[in-house]
This record gives sequence, C-alpha cells and structure tokens, in this order.
Amino acid sequence: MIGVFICFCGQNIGGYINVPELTDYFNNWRDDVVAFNTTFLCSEIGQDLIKDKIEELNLEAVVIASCSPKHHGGIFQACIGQKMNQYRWEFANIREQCAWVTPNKKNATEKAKAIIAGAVEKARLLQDIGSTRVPVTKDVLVIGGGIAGMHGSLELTDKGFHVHMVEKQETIGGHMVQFDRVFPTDDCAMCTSSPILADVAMDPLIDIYSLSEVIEVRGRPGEYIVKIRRNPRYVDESKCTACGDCTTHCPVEAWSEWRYGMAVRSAIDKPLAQAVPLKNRIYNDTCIRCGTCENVCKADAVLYNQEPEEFEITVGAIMISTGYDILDLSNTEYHQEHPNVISHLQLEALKVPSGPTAGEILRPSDGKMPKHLVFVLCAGSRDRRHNVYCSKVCCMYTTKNARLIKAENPNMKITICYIDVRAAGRGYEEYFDKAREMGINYVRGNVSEIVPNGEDLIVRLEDTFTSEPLELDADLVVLSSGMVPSQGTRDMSEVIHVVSGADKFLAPVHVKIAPVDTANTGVYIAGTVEAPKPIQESITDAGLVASRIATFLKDPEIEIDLKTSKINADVCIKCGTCADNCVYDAIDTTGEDFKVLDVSCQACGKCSVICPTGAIDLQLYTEDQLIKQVDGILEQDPDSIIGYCCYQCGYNAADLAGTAKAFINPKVKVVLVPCSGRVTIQHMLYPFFKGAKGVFLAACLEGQCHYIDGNLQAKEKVKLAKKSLDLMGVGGRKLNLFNMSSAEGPKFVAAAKRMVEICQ
Amino acid sequence: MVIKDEEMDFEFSKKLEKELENSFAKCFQCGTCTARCPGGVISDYRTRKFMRMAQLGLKDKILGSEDLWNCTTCSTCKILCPWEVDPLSTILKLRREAVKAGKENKKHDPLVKSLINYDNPWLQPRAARKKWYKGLDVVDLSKEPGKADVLYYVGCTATFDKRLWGMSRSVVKVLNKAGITVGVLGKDEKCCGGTVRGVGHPEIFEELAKQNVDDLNNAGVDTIIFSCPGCLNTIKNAYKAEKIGEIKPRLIHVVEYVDELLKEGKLKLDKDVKRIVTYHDPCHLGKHCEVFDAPRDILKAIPGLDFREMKFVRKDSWCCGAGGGVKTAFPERATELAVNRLDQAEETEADTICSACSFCYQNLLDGLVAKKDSKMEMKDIMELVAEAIEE
Repeated sequence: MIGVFICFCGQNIGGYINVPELTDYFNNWRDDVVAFNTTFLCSEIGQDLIKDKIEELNLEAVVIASCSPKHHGGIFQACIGQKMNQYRWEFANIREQCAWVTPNKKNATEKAKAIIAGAVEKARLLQDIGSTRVPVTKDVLVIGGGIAGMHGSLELTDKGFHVHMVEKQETIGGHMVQFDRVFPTDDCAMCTSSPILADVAMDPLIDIYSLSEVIEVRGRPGEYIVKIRRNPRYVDESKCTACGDCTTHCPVEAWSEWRYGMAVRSAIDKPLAQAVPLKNRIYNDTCIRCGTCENVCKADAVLYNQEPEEFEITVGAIMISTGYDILDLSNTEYHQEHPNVISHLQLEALKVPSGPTAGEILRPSDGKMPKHLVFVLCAGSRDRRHNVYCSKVCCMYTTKNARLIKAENPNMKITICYIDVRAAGRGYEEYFDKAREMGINYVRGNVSEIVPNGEDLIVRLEDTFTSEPLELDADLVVLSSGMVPSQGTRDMSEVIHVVSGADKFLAPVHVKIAPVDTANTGVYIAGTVEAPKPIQESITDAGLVASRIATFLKDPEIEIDLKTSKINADVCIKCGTCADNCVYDAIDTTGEDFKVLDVSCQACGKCSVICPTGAIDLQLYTEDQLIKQVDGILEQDPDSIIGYCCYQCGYNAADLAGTAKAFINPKVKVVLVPCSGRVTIQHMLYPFFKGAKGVFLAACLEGQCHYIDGNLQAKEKVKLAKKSLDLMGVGGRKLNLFNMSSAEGPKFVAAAKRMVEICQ
Repeated sequence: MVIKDEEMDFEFSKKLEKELENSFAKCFQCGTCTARCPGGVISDYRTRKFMRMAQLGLKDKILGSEDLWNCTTCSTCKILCPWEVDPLSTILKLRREAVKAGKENKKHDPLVKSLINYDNPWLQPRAARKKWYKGLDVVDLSKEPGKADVLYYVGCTATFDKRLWGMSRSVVKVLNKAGITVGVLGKDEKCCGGTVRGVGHPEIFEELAKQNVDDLNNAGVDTIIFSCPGCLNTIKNAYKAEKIGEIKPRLIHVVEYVDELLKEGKLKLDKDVKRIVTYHDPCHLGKHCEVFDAPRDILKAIPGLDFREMKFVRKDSWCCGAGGGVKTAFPERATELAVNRLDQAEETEADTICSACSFCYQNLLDGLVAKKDSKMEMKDIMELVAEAIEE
C-alpha cells in the first residue's frame, strides 16, 4: 500500500489546485493507493498524520505532494524515518513547479495528477537505503587569511580545532589592513585588526601557509585530502628576522602592489610593518639578483634558488574566505590612465598614516593638495557593461573617506556623485546625515563623462534634482568601483567545484536560510567570497562558519547515507569503464568482484550511464525508477514534455521560476535527477515511445558541474540521442540540453517556452 | 502644480513599453543620458525627464511639450546608458504619439508636405534632381538598369543644396578615377524617409521606404553607395528594424568603399594636399553605423595632409546639431551646436574641418558663417580625396 499525502499549504497550493478533487482522484485511482490531505503537512499535525497512517495501514512507501523537497525535504525524511526506512518516500513538487506556475486551476489540478502519478510509480520501486559511519579529521582548512578567514580561524581554535590557513599573499590580513579607517565608527583599521593578526600569528593551533595556494581537493566530507602549493619567498622563513637590512640596501625601487602603485618598495621587502608572518620576501619580477641582500643578511636567510613546493594535508572541513578584488576600470571610459583619476583603494593607500604622504591627500601628478575632490560612485556598478549589481559598501566607504578628508581639510571642496545613496545599516543613515552637515556636496546623477583637462579633469553629469547638466572642474577624481570575486574565489569553483552564480561569487545552498553552507558537505563560505558585504557581515559569516564546522565535526564519526551506486556482480564484465570514468576513484577494482567504495561515491550516477552491460546502478534514482516515473506522468498526460533537471542547478532554477510566479506551460513536467550525467539515452528516447512531445535536460553551466563533467557527458549523449530521433523520424530538435545556474529561474522559463514552441 | 492621479495614464505607459524594446520602464533615472545630450545644451529638453514622464504615463504633459522636438537623434544616450536602455527609441516613439494626437511640431509641416508631394523635404521639383551631375559621366539606372558598376544614392540634401554639389560631384569623380562606372536614379530617386521617421510620421516613412526597397532592388547593381549617413542608416538599419523589406545589394558608405579601393591599390592618391585637417564624426555614420576607422584611414593616406583629432571623437563625438528635425524646427539652436563643435575643431589649429555627411556639412557650414571670424574651411572628405587625384 502506498500513501499519498497532499498538502494545501494554506492557499499556496489550495488556492491554485483543487486539493479535495486530487485526493478523491487518488483514493479511487488504484487499489493499492490511498490519499490524504491536510492544511500544512509540515506542521506537527501533518507529520502525525503521516506517521499514524504508515503504522495504521502498514504503508510500503509514502508520496509527499507539497512544496519543493529543497524546502522541507529534511523534515519529511526525518518524520518518515521514525516509522520506516527514511528513503521510502518520494515527493511530488506541486507547489513551486505546479501551483505557482499554472494560472488556470483546472490545468494545475491536471498537472498535479500527472506529477503525483509519476511519484507513486517511482515510489513502488523504492528500496531501503542503509548508512555507515566514517571517521572524521578534526583539522580544518581555511582558505584566505583576510578578516573573515582570521576571525573564523580564531573561533575554530577556541573550539579546539586545528586550523591550516592558506594565504596567497605574503601576509595575512586581506583588504582590511590596507584601509585607513572603517565605517561607521571611524576606527583605525590597523589598530582594530592588528590584535587579530597577532592572535592568529601566536595561536599554536593555527598553521599559516603564506604565498600558498590550494591546487587540488580530493576525498570526502570529513576527510578531504588537500594539495597545497607553496610559492617561493626566496627567503628562509625560519631564519629571517625582518630586521630590514636587506630592504635598506636593495638598489631596486618599484611600485608597491600592496599600495596599488601609490608607494614604492624594494625588490626585497615586506608589505607592512605588522605583516604575518613577519618575514621579508623577494619580488622575483623586479629582483636583479645583484647579491646585495645576500651579502648584508646577517641571518643568512636569502635563498635565491628556492623552488615552489607541493604537499598534502588532510582536513575534515573547509572554510573558503578568498574574498574580493575591486572592479578593474583601466582601459575604460573612466580614464584611469590619467594620474589624477584613482581608485578608492589607491586613495586608502594615500590615506594610511604609514603611506607615502603620511596620510595627507596629495594628488599623484604634482603632489599638490586638490581644491576640488570628486568621488564617482557606481563607477562601473549598476552598469550592464561592467558590474550589473550594487556592491553595497561603496556609498559608505566613500562617505567615510569624504568625511575624514573634509574634517582634516575644511576648505577642500568635496563632491560625491551618486545614483542612490544606500545607507542601510545600523548607524549608517546618521553617518550619512553628518556628512551632509559637514558640507560635503552630494549630487544625484551618474557621471556620464570624465574628460582629462591637462592635469585636471572635467566631470559631466546631470543634477537630476534640478534637471540641469553640470560640468565640475575636479583636480582629483576618486572612482568608487565595486567588488568582484577575487581570482582566488574564481579558482574555487574549479578546485573544489563549489557552485557560483552568474556574478561569479560563490553560491550558498540557500541565500536566506543557509547563507554559509555550500552544496558540498563540509565546505562553507564566509565574507565577500559570497557577495559584496561590509567587514562586520564578513565577521558574522565567519562566526557562523566556525559554528557550522564545529557542529559538523563534533563527533569522531559522521553518518553517511549509502545512496551510492551498486554493482551487480552477476552482470559485471569487469571492463573497468566505470572506474576509468569515476572522478572520485570510487570503484575498487582490486578484489574478486568490482565494488563501489561507499564513502567515496558521490552518487552522481554517471557510471550507470556509461556501463555497457547495465551492471552498475544508483540505489536512489535507479534506471527503472526514472522510467516508471516517466510512465506515471505520461499515462496521465501523454503529450507532456519531460524535463530532466539536475539537483544542483536545473531543479533549483525550476523552483525559482515558481517562486517568481512565472508562467510555465502545464505540459512541461520535471523529473529530478542527481546530475544531468545520470540521464541515459534510454531516458531520453523512452518518453517519445510513450507519446511525449519533447524531452529536455536542464543542467549546470559548463565548467560548473557539481560532479565535474556530468553535464559534458550529458551533452555527448544528447548528441547521439538526437541522431537516433532523426533516424526514427521523430526529429532530434525535440530533444535539447539547456545549461543554467541554480540562480537562473528566467533561463528555465525560457527553456520551457522554447521546448513548447519546438514541440507543439 | 500638482500632478493629479488621473493624469498618470499607466495604460499609455504600458502600451508604449510593450511596443518598444529595452525602453523606459527599466530606467533608474541616473541622468547619464542627459548630461551629454546635445539637445539639452540648446534647450530645456532633458532625456531623463521624458523617460520618467513615460514611466508615469504623463501623456498630456509629454505630447504637449515643445522640448520633445529638441532631440537630434544622435544616439549618445543609447551608447552611454549604463543599463542598456534605449532612450532614443522612446523619444522617437513619443514623437509618433504626439503626431497621432495632433500635437506635431508645426515647423515640420512644410517638410512633411514636401515629402508627400515631391518625394523630397526641400520643396524642390523632381526634375531638379538631375542638376547636380551636369557634365559628369553617370548612368541613369532608372532608365538603363544594370548599366553601371555601382548605384550612388545621393540623398536629397546633396542633391538640392548647391553648396554641397562639390561633395556629390567629388564622389563621382573619385569613383570614376578608380575605373568604376557610377549610376544614379536621376529624377526617380526618392527621399529615404529618415527625416519623417525622426519627426513622427511612420506612415509617410513606410510608403517611401517600400518604394525605395523596390527601386534599389531593381537598379541592377550589387553595390549601393551613400555619401549621406542619414540615408545609409535609414535604409540599412531602420528599414530592417521597422520590417519594411530586404534590400539585396550591399549598402555601404562611400568612405568605406574608397577606403577599400585605396587598400586594394585600385585608387592612388598622388597629389599633395597641403591642409591641416580635422575630422568630425557624423552621428549617423559613427554612433549608428559604427564606421570610425575608414575616414581616418583615408585622411592618413592623402599625401601632404596633416590630420589632427579633436578632443571628442568616435563614440564620444559631439553632435553637429542638425539631425532629428532640429535644424528645421530650431535653426538657430542647430547652429549653436555647430559653433560648439567648430570651437573644438579650432583647438586643433586645423585649417579645414571635414566630415562625411551632407547634413553635418550643411550645418557646420552654417556654423562657420555664424562664427564670422573663423578661418576654417568646411569640406567633405571626398572633396579632399578629389583634390589628391586631380591633375
């Protein structure tokens, strides 16, 4: 007996779908199916109903017809797990993917019937899935030693974890230690952060690998094997005392990268006096190998021939805090090549007390104090040619710098050109208010042109309040450009395969309710790796990540459900195709029979698609389960369009389309698969035999497959299946693969619309 | 003055937005367009305000506004907009709505009537189209289709304004020098319709456009050459955008064509032209058709010529002020913009300003007259090329 539980979700489903009719329908549908409904299935009453009926009717499996499993899937799994194996249930997503995308109640009810029928047919084939316990390593990897990485590491060591901190630069500290002061308190950034740097430096539980990069991550949650490359410092860290003799004697002078070209450095130097580790380094691109430093170094620390080294560590969990860069506006209409057009980070480099002008604002071209300083907000932001998004912090850091400069130089004219001032945060509006009171001139209008005029600049914009075009004569222009994910952040989607959004920032599992978790168990994100945000939010993130990691690693072992692939030894011919293709090395080919290594298998199902004899299959989402689900759908509504959506992206995008209440033709029916690489050619062709009008796959963007290359494998299979469809006279154009990120609801809507156009 | 709720006609707004693409609905009022708008220099026309009024559906306020007629259709707003909104298409649409509502700009009436009666905006008889090429070796393709290598679509301005005959005649001379026989449509050439399109009369535009599609396809050539970028942009881009019909021959501006001839070695420039020259980018050639390099490459190929760039060139170029019906409705304002542009040209210390557009030619010439003290000379780029080949 299979129990179907249908949720009204208040009006969320009940308002769009005739739930009583649906319940009646399934009560009279098959002898072995019973149906129930309730207002909120996720409530205690709803859960009790499920549990009672499992017991009372001795149900073999349960179908939950409600919201997306991405919402309350966990709740229902736990509820069902109390009465039988927690995998003996199947969901029918009739909210996001039916009620909310189908304006006509009759059509929505009919579509719900098909979705539920598919789920029931699949549920008949569900099996018990066991679990195993595996040990975890208590060490944690923190990638990126900025304010988020530092704070998170200290929280973790306070909880007793051992932290390996990998930092690309020669010092930890990140952007915060490059700032003069921070809003809204005007605290000295260095004074606030140097105790944190010192704590990290002295913490016996933190190992810092500076000038280092993570180049590979293998293994499984709880036991990740991490390969680190340490780039040469050309200075022996164990010997260097940072006395500075080498720097003083070095004949080379070059622009400092750390100070964005606003100050000079030697070829052997340290970026700041508080660097951690406090060691000098040789900047190889400018070093002339004259030997002076080697001669003057009393500690004998110079190592001209140091080579990069690679080593591996094992960690249980990973925190990614690789941060941001600012949008590069060189070679754009902003004329950054002009010496007196500078970025806000260059302004910070001028303003820091340890900077080249000891904190005075002197313009680069002639060292004179500017008379009219113009800040250009939204430089490249809210601009479809550069950064579409708002970077959230620019209004405030610009106001901060303007206030500080105005306080020091009351006679300097300061203008801030803006589109909208976004001062949402505790104390921010008051901070902005004070700036206006100080006489800082805010002009509402986006700068349309910066025109070099000798050493000065003409800035053109409209004052949109008076509707008058303005021409400002500026002698220093500061571009308040927004944040972009740093190279390190971009690399993470390759090295650890963390999903990123269209903006290339890393994407959390859920922006609102799981903001630091990623789709990779045991991997968490903190700070501007996720989105532009101010320091305090990065610190909040870091604290949360430390807490999430502590929860994840609290026991010596974690439980892993074995939703893995399984090999049927009777059919397996030991050809090794699965092993060759498994990117997780999860097939053990050493024994008498080939076996799947349960803890390594990530349950993507790619192996079951390439196995020539069909010997290997996933335990959840088996070949037959998917076929039966399609059968169920098509029996109800034969001329459907079947959309296989991957769990990471396609399915999420389909849910988002629902959240946005977009219209999707009710003929489109979604079938969830773990990865597009799990869809076999049979899955692609079979629906057509049963009358389907079309089939499509919704997969991750290329290069961003959660399972590395599943979507590329799917692409190949789709090509082959298209040929078959052409030969069969059905037409290959009725089968398509669409790539989309988990955040791209509109892309799913467009894909569905396209399919309807092609197939009807 | 209070805007009453009933004045906000959101249906009007919705209807406009539906008919346009990337239009005013998404505008967040940053003013980028307005700060660089030539219309805004000479009047109280504010692009951003029209985008806002369109969002609010302030139909009566928009359609009754004189400011609406100060847009020169230069397209700077579209190029600068950070949100990739197209204010120009909104303005053109609003002008159409104004005409529909009987609120057209009366100063455009003679032009519109002339187009209906004579197929040109200059109140000239059709037969007068043959005057400019007197004594030149051209074939009338309306009588003998296919009897020339190329068709030269002259455009009304260089046909009827005698001051511009040096330009149209130079085109023929230069092409002949390269061994190319030039055809024209003689008295059967018709206005491209760009002007009426710009001032809000889609029906007249469509009628002209349809006739042109037939005429140009029936000329029996595979290349049609333009010296007026307004005509080129209208026939090449607007006919497509407004789904008029397809023109099979290649449509190309004479600067691009001559640039090709020079690069292929089919045309040689051997006579020194002792001039210091600066080049004004016509908006319809540059911003609309994205032709920036060809005229510069030609100028650099002319021996003896000292080419100097103005401060604002290519996509940043300032409009001469003539387009979009501004010169007809507000001639003194158009001249004011021409004077501004000439001031920039004089900063280069050039003795000659050249362009590649009949309308820019006309307006900059008027600007030179208004400036009185200027020693600069106005030339079309083809006149300079002709100077470099004449014996």
